[in-house]
Amino acid sequence: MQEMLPFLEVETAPALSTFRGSPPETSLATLAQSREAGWMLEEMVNGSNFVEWASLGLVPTSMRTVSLKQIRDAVDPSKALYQSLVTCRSYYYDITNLRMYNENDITITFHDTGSFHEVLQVFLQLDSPTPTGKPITFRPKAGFRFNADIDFDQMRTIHTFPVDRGPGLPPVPASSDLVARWLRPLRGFFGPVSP
Amino acid sequence: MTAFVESFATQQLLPPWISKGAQSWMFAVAFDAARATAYLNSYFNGFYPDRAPFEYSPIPGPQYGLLCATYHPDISCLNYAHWDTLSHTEVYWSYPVLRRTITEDHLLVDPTVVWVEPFMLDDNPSIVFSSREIWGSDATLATVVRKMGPAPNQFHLDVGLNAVRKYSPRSVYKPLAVLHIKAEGGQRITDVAQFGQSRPDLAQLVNILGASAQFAGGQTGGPPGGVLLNNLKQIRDAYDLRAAIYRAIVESHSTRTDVDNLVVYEGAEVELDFMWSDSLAETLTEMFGIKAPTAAGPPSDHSAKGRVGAGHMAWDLDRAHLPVVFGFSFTSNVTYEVVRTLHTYGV
Repeated sequence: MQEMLPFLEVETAPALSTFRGSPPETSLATLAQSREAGWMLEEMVNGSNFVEWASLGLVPTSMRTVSLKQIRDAVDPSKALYQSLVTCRSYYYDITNLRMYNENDITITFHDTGSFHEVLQVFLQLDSPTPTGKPITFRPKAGFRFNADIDFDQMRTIHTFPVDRGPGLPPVPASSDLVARWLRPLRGFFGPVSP
Repeated sequence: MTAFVESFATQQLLPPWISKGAQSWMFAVAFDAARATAYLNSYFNGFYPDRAPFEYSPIPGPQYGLLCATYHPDISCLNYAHWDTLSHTEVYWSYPVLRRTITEDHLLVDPTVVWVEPFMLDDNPSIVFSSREIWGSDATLATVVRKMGPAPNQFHLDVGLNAVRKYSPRSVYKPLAVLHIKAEGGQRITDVAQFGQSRPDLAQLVNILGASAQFAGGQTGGPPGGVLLNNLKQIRDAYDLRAAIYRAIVESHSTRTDVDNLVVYEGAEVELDFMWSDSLAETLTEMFGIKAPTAAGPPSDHSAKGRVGAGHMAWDLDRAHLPVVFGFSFTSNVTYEVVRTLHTYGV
C-alpha cells in the first residue's frame, strides 16, 4: 500500500561564517565568506544574465532544461500517442543573500526503501539490485543558498518524434524547431516558407 | 503503435483499476438542462477542427446529476501487480446524457446513455495525474477531510483547494474551503423498486442508477450494467498554451459488484454548501447556474475565524447552498476500464 515515507533529508550547520560546526578554515567556502566576496558572487550571477541578453542568446548563461513529453494511449497505456522534446529556460535574477555552507557539515541522506530504489538507481552507484532499507548518506562538494526571482519561460517544442498512433489514425510526422529566438524574425523574412 | 518510454517517473496507476471495499456517498441535485447543453456543446459537440461523429444532448425530462464522494481504501492496477496499491478519496460531479451517432446521411441513431464528469477533486497525486494523462478526466488535487467514526447513517466531508478568494494580478493561492457536505438520519433500505415507486419524480434517475448497479437491486429497462463515462482528453501545446496537440473522446466503463449497506438520505437531511471564491465562481455558474452566494459565512460546523480539520483550510467565506433531492450511500467493489477511444480529433 502506498504511504508517505521519508525520501530525502538534508542537514547543514548554519551558513558561514559561524562558530558552530566544523572549523571554517576546513571549507573551500572560506574563499567567499567575506561580505565583499558574497556581493561579487551575486553580481557575477546577475552579470551572466546580462551577458546572455547582450549576446542575443549566443552565449547562453541561464539554465535550460530539456524533457521528454509523452502521452499514454488510454486503451493500451504501454503505447504513446505523442512524444516530443520540450525545452524551458530557468532565468535567475535579483539574486541576494548568497551564503555558503561548510561542506563538511552538510549531510545528505536518501532512504533506499521500496519504490525509491528505482529513483536512486538513476543517479547513485548502488551495489544492491533490490532496496536495502538502509539510509545512504554522503557529503556534497559544496553547498550554498540564495534568494532570487526565477522566471520559467521560453518553453517550446524543439522536436516532435514520429509516432504511429495505431490503425485508422494518420501517424504523427516528425518535425524539428531548433531556430534560435533571435534568428526567427530574419528566418521568417528570408527563409523558406513553412509547410 | 509507438512504445511509451518507461522510467521511474512514469509509474502511473495504469488502467484497468480495481477498487476493493469502496465507500460511496452520492447526492442527487436537480439542475437546468441549459447547463448540460452548454457543457456538452463546449466539450463534445464542437469543431476541433473536425467534429466527432456523435451528438451529445441532455436526456429528455428533468435533469438530475450526482455530486459523489468515494473513499477507495484499496485501489490498484488490475494488470500490473507489482505497482502500487493506493488509497484515496475522490469528489466529483457527474450526470447522465444522451449520445447519438451521426451517420453519413446526418441521421442521429444509436441512442446511448453515457455519463459525463465535468469536474473531479481528489486527494492523491498519483490518481490525479493518472486520471488526467490517461483517462482524460478534469481532475484537480484537493484536500479532502472526512469526519471519521460517525454512525453508518451519518456523513460529513469537507474539501479544500489552493485557490484565490478575490482575484487580482497579485493574488496568491491559499488553501480555501470549497465544499461542505453533511448528511444525517439516513435510512437503510433493501427494496429499491419500492423506493422508486414512492418517488415518481425521480423514477428516471433511479432507473438509470439501478441499471448501472449504483443502487443495489438493479432496475430493468435502462442501459446494461455499469456506467459508461465519456471524457474529452486533451493535452496542451508547450509553445502555444491555447492550442492542443492532442484531443480525443475516451470512453471508459465502471462496474460495481457486491453492492451492500445501502442507505438513503432525504434531501432535507443533507447540507451541501459550496464556499464562494473567485476561483470557484466560474465553475458554480457554469455547472449549476449559481451566480452569487446564497448565504453569509460558513456552515455552522465551521468557524469563520478558525482553520478547521487536517487541511487547515480557511472558512471565512460566504457559501452557495445547493438543494439536494435525495442522497444515498453504499459499499461496493469497483472495476474501472478504458473501453475505447471513440474519436481522435485531427489537431
